[in-house]
Amino acid sequence: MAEATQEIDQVLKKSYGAGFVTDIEQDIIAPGLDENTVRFISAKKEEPEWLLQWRLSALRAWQRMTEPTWANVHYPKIDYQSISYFAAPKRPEDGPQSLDEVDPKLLETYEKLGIPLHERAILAGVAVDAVFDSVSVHTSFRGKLAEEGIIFMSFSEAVKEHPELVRKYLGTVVPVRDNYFAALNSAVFSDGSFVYIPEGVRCPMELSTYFRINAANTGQFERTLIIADKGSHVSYLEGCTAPQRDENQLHAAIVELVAHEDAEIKYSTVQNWYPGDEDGKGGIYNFVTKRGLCEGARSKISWTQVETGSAITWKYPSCVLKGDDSVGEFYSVALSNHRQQADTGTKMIHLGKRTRSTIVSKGISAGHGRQTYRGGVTIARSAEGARNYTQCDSLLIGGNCQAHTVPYVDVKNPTAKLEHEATTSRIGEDQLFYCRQRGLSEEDAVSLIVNGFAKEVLKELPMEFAVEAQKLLGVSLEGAIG
Amino acid sequence: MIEVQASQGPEDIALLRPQPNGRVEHAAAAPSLTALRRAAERALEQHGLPGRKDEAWRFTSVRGALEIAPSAPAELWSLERAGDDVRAHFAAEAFVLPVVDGVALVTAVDNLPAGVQLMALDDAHRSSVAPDPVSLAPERHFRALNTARFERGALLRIEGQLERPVHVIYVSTGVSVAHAKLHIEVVAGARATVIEHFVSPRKRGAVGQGGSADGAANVDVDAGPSGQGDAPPPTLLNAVTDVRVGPNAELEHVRVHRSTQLLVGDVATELGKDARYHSRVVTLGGPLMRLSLHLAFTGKGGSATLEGAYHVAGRDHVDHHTRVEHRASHCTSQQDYRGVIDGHGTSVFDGIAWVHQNALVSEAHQQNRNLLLSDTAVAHTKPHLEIDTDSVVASHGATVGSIDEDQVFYLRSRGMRESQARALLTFAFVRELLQRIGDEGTRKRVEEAMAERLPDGMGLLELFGETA
Amino acid sequence: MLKITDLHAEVGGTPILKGLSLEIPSGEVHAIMGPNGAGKSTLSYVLSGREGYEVTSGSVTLDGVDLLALPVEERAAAGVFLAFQYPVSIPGVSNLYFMRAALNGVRKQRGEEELDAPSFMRLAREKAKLVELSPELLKRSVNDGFSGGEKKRNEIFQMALLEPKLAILDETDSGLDIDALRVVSAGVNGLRDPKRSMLVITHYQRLLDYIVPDRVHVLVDGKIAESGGAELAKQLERDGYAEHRSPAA
Repeated sequence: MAEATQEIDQVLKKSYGAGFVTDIEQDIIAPGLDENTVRFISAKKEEPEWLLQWRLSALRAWQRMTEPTWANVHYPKIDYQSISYFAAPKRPEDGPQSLDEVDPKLLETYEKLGIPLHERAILAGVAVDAVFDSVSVHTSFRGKLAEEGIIFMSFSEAVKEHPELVRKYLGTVVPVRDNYFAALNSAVFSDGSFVYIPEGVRCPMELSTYFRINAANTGQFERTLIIADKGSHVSYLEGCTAPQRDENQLHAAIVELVAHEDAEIKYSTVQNWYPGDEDGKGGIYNFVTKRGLCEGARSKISWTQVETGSAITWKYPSCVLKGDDSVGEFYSVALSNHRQQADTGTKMIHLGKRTRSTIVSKGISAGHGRQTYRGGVTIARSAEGARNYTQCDSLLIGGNCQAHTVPYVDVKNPTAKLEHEATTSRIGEDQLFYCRQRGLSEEDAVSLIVNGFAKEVLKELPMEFAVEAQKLLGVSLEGAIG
Repeated sequence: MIEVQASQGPEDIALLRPQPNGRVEHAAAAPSLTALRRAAERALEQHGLPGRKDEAWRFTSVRGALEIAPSAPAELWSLERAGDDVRAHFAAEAFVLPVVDGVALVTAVDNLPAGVQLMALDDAHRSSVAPDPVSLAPERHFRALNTARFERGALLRIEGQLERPVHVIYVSTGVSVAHAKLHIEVVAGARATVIEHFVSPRKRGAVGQGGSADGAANVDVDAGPSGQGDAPPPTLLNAVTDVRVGPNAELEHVRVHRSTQLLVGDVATELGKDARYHSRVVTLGGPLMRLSLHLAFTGKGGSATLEGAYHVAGRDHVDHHTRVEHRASHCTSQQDYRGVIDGHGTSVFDGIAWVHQNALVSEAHQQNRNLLLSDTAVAHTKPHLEIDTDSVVASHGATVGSIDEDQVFYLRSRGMRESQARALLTFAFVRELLQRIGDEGTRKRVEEAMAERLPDGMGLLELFGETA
Repeated sequence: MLKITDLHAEVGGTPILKGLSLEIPSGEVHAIMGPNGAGKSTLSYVLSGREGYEVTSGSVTLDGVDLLALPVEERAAAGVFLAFQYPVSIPGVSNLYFMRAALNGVRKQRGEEELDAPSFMRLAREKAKLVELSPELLKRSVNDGFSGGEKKRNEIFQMALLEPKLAILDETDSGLDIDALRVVSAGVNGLRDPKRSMLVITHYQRLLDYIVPDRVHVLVDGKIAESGGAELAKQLERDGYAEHRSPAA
């Protein structure tokens, strides 16, 4: 411990010499990324030495890597040295003081989505004193989980309270060198969630439902780690249908899932970060690495995502199906309107015998939106009797949008069976006319048809999320027609 | 593993060395051709040859090809002898253009009907019929190498309604590296079938420096890639075929690949208004068979079918790349590739259907189906769609699997031996595509060759013969 | 009452309707017959407001409301219902959900209270009986995988729910066998109402044996060439349209 303190002191001195803001009491460091930055973040979070070293190895890997260019997304070059890599949560007095100060357009959207009043204020960044009931809800909720032996806390807390678990699993699914953005996240990740479900426990509630607001401010370099021990079961929800604004344009999150024997993890995401304006100005760049390892036999990991936000989405939630008879699923709805670009899909890597995977992807492009499904299915020689079924459909609205479908299928075992189907079509004029003849407005008709198109995926979402997601699709398409 | 980088300089790559005693340099080429060659040389210097880092060559290593240094060309008379020899495999009245060691022997064909012109590319460049190069993508990699190094290409220009097919047969006297170039031009309203045959080279040494008189008689049109005796040193054929189908013209373009050579093929096709094009590719193995097929609709109302049937076994590596570009409205494209992979064979399929923004009312479909027959067979498939307009109906599908055991059981319950049942189901899987080849002689030959490659495949044809 | 006066319309620059006039008083059923290409389907699209059907002159009013000034959905709210010749399928959208959205859309435009789910369900079940539409079909996606007869019955079911002032039945008999035709016709007859005008568009007289019209009009080359009672249909069945063919056609 003394050693660690000494180390921190040294770092502080060093960074001072390098001209960094070194006051440990300060909540922001100057832009730039080097070893000192990483040491500062780690010290600030009072992390153990092994984690610092882990971050540093990631940084060194990142420094040797180049930003990938294969995705079908186009954006100005990111200057990684102009970004500030640590900022403590905003103080309340920095934000708007009441809803009256918030952009009326944003409030209108909340209204349409049916976001509860007390949540609107939080989402809009309004200072709310006595953080309403969520603290008490939070506490009682956590108590209930603790009774079952479930650990659910912020990543930083977990590092302090359960270092052995974090150390055992961190980076085992997404190694630090996995890709450019994963290495970056590993070096500088801010915070995130940690979940451990003990053997045989069925988590009694959807995790994070109660926390979606609290998580709003940890967006930039989020890191989530979920471990489901033998025979356990958990459903985790991430994100929120309400449009979230964030000062940080670059997001690079990592999610790692580990499912042991007979365990099941269901991970649902609704991503609605600020997409930029109609001309493509602003908007979040969202580069996410999500991967689940079906470590044990008969384990199952299921990803469901509704991606309507961000200017750039680069995201491939994947499953490594290692355990025999394990199952991977990916259900996705991605929508690009205006100038949004999404390159998203999944990777199913079949290693174990009789492993099965299902991919259902629904892409919707409107305006000048650009949409790419990119998915890989790999059947290793060892994956006797593996099965995959893939279906990806694209719906086009208007003549200026794009839909690309890029599946990669690599098979090394003759007993495997794969089927891939894809279609691309537009919203039919006759469908629109039919709906309008029955009295629906054009926008309602579009929303109805799009929701029908996406239904197969939406039904995979937990009930309350599904209802919100449906509304979200309609709202996100406003202005797409006419 | 040695990774060949695109930036690797020419001095590191044997294939890029100049041909000893090469004839290209000495030819008094047409100025327009010389300009093309220079541009190609520059592209080669800039981009080199592909490595695995190139997305389009991810699963196909050309290392073996890069290690082959060009050897001295054979004497012209032995090329002609080999040419005469392959012509003997066809009926006397057939139109056969032999391309030996990449050299198109245009003067060997003297029975062409009216409405068909065949001339050396060089002469064409000097004349009024100079072919417009089909430039669908920048010339680079093997295509640039071809333009820079090909010795004598041919222009085949069709103006009438051709009843019988034109056969182009590629043979080798054993020279290590050959570059062949063919332009096919089907002018407005014309109709034709062109069949390109790629066959195995004769054993090296059969044509020595002096050339034995009977050596040339060894070219075997029907010899498949497997079952050869002593493996000769690898040789490379780099063949480029440019196709232009004019307004309201129609071309059936068949390619049969059954060669023990390393084969890198590149076909670029432009279709005019209301043109119809049927590409039928049959690939029967090969140590390295790479075909890039790039097609673009440049006028309204065109239609194209791209079909491929392949059988891959032993250590064969077969790679089909297709790219169909809808640049104009009201065009329809259908791609259907189907193959059987056995032994340690590897098949790669990478197909793109790209519908441009201005290509209204487009229809693009794509299918790739693979049957894996052994534990060591590998299939990579990547059918993909790039749709930049909403005025489109597009779909694609891919499957990989093995023979349906229920079907095997059903056939056995009707008294068929298991091996026979499997061969039958395998053959049926690809036969549908073979059947669409219009020329009966070629169709029969290809069906037989396919059946022969299947375990217990003999007798299959009779079986089908009864029902056909 | 529907009132069409000297209606001219064109599609893609080609004139199709060339001065059509027609009145259908409330409570009456009129049939329009005519050879292929006479403009029958164009008339149904022009009345319902489909894009691409350009009205160049003339007027159409429904109970005094100028229909031509309204977009499609507002015409629906004003009481226009088109039973499609080829009903469109909408995958993933359940029939019930669709009709509830439609009915409430119409009610909203009329300034009426929206129906809650239970009252809508009661109403839907009641109307479904009218055309013998099974509850199973109500839950399925709109027309997706429906047989020809099921689609047409679904159209009449929708008409029953929306209670239009003007119902246009475009070739409703096409693709129906005799049993289905009987069921559909019974549904339509059940919906005859003193406050409703109906326009039955058909090529064949067969349908008119089941839905007996008050008036029959013959549409030839974009105009009404002849009008008469129900017996006119029989005569056309016997003699064909030959004598009505314009020299130009």
